[in-house]
Amino acid sequence: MNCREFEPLLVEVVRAAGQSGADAATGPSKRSDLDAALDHAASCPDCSERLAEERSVSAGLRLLAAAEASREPSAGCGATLLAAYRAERGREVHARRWILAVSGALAASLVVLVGAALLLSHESSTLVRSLYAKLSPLAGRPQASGWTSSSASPSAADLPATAEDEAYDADTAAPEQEEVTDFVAYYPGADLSSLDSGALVRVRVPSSALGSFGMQVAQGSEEEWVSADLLVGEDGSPQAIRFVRAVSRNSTN
Amino acid sequence: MNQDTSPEALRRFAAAGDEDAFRALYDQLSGFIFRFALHMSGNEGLAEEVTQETFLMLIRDPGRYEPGRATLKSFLYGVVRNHTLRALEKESRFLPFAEPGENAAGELQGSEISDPAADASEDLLRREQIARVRRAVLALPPVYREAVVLCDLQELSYEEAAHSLACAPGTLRSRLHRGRELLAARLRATERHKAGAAAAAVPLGGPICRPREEFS
Repeated sequence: MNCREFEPLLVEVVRAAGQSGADAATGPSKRSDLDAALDHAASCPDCSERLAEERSVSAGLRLLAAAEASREPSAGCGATLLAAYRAERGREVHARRWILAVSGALAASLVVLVGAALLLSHESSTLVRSLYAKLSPLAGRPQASGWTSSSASPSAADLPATAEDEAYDADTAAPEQEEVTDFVAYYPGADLSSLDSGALVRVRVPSSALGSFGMQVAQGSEEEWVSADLLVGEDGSPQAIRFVRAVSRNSTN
Repeated sequence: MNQDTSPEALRRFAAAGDEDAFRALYDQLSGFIFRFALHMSGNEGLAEEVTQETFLMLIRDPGRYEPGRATLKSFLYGVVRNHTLRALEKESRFLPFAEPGENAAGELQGSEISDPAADASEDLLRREQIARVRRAVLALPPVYREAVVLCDLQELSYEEAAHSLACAPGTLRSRLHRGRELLAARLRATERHKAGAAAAAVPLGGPICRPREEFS
């Protein structure tokens, strides 16, 4: 080994000899290289001087490290950090609760929306089906008479219905305290069989109007007002009408 | 608290809300962090600030540490190094810190020494040497100072120190070599200065200085 090869190994030779640093025994240089460097220093006055100087530096650094090994941050530093840790955890817990609350509310809103959408779609299909059922017999039957309970529509049973529909019908059937007539074509002779959609509008009409649809008007009640459901077509014109009569619960039971 | 007390595990538990784990982590690492900042800056107040900032980062943004890349200790040394260098640049607070028994200028105070003469002399010499080495380390350019502090004072492996300084182990070794070379030169110069001062203070057989007016 010569002086040029010795120089890069100098620090490792000293660190290995002084057992200083985690690399003392397992540095990148081989043990044999370090031994060769020591042999070279023993025979070279310049390198021997450099080695002594490096050893002195190592000794000084070890002394400094030992003198300051017990230096620690103040107790106040730890207390401040612990307070910061607690505050941060508190913030996180608060944020987590808030997120849970918001997501819960969103989930609930979603359920309500989906439920409402299902309800509406079911209601409209039931209404159309029920209207269709009621209107189909009207085709070619310009007028009808007699009151029937709206909850016991015999023609509705003719339609195919799912179990869901039946359950729904049971829950949402018209109240029993109302009786309705069959639908009657609003314009005599009109063909109602082609009507498959429309809107039902509840109106109040004078009792005398019953007569114009072939129904009997009770004596002395011409001035009274009765409820009627107007079936309005997509063009906005009335297509059919039925009359509604309120019946008290006691009288139906 | 869990059985695993490695810094990495403690960080994980602390991040999950385990306060005991956070305390244990602080107890394990705060000394290393504080001393690294102290050796780098020579300023106790700044070292404490840096220690706080480092742990605050760990509290507020624990995800910044990626376990697969380095040990938590080397990662935190990297954070400390950046904070310290930034603070030194910003505030220019490069002041030598005082040990107990030493004033801010690094001079030893006699009142601290109460041992009999021989012990006192030995203690004085030891403390003088420590103060000289400390000043020499602080006088190194930061790039060499951090290599010397991490490898020789904090006793990190080349690999860990290289991770902390975000450089290759070969680069670190070369910086360490150069840093120690500069340190040796500075200590040599201090020795010469001290010897020169001592010779000037004791003019054995030399000319006696007289007040100026005596020549006029």
